[in-house]
Amino acid sequence: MTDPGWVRRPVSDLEMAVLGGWLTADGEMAKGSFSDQLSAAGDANGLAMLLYAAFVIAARRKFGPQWTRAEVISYVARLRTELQSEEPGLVDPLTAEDELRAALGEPVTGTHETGFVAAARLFIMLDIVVDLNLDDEALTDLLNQARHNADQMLERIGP
Amino acid sequence: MPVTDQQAAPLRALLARQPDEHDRLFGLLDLNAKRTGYQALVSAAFVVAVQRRFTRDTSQAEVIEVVGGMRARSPRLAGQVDPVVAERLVMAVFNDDPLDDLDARKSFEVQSVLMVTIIYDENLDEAGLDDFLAKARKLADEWLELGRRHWMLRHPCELRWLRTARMDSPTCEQLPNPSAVNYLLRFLQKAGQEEQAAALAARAAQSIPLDDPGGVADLLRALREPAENEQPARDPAASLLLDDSYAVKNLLRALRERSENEQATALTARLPAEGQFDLFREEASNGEPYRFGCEPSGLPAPAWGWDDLDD
Repeated sequence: MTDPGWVRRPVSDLEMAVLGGWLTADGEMAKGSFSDQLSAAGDANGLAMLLYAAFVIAARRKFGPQWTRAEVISYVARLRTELQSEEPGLVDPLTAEDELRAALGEPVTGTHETGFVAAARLFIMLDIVVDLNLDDEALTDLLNQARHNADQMLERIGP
Repeated sequence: MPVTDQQAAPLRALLARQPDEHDRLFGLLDLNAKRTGYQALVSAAFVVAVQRRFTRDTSQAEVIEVVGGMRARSPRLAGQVDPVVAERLVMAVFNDDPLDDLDARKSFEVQSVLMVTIIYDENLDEAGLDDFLAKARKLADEWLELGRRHWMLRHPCELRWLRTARMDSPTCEQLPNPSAVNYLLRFLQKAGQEEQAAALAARAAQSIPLDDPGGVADLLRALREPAENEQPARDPAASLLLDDSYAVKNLLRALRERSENEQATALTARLPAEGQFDLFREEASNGEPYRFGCEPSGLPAPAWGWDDLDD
């Protein structure tokens, strides 16, 4: 059963701008675009799916098909140590590991708090994008691919 | 009762990388032996192992990295060790962070796995293993002597008090609960550490949490002389939580045993407002019935009749 507030529509340009602002560390732009999206459409239904799609793409580029659980654990530990001084506790390790393993194709049965899941996806994606050192064109490609995948998923799960 | 050789044997076998022998020896222990000496020894071994692997200056980031590295070694370790629990347990050996919210079973399992992993990494020879176990056993014996009921690492502050009791002045910033202080005080007194006991008593009188009337009562009894208490610059009778009538009754008795009658009277006066009216009647009126209600002062209201309501 879908949420009564759910509106079937593809990812909007403003939602793309929100994620783009986040990934280029332009927080003001992301915040402004998010407000504009809410004013224009009354919701940001596509944003979560766009974020998830971009997270999966980034994770698969980072780890590749031969990934191991040990790599995932070490990566999450390393990310948390880097965030420790400024954002301690922001990324829950088990949530982050499960999200990554699921994105890489492993069936994961654990469930986690929504806030932990969103934080894990956001900060892992940002870290990977920075690590991959993508130029503007490559970043735009990643976002467009994420939008395409998100639109397909939105089409499938709509009411 | 100290850790027995029989209780120590399974851990020795485990740390000597003889898991089958560990299982066999562990199977020989009865339930009581597992829950007392063996658990105390494993928790103490955890504390000793952490103190060997880390220092007080170790950062949280370093702990995250080490725990992550351990979990990355095998899916079994990854599944057994909850990283957040592990990091908190390690840090708690050096700071005063409370661990009361941790599940005891999970905490114990993580302690066991981390301890074994740290010691395996050290590749100790027979002599090194014996030395490590001797230290752990000594600490476990101190805990058992202390009479703690929970051998999981609940409040490392208690351990620090024990360590410092043999060396310098106590440095712990935050005292554990009154019951734990009571145990510590008795331990220090029994060990002849009168100066340390006095220091602990003075600090306890000033800063012990006042949310446990039963524990405060026990503590009052453990303070041998009123002078040790130095009349705290606090007003426990006005501040204590009074939601447990049995504990409050116990505290009132302890106060009267020490001739702290003023505190006992003040405490009794608070009882009606705290919903402890039955205890108040018992303590304040010597059984005199409050047939006509209670004055704001706590005294029985004078007799009244229907005619008085017409005024």
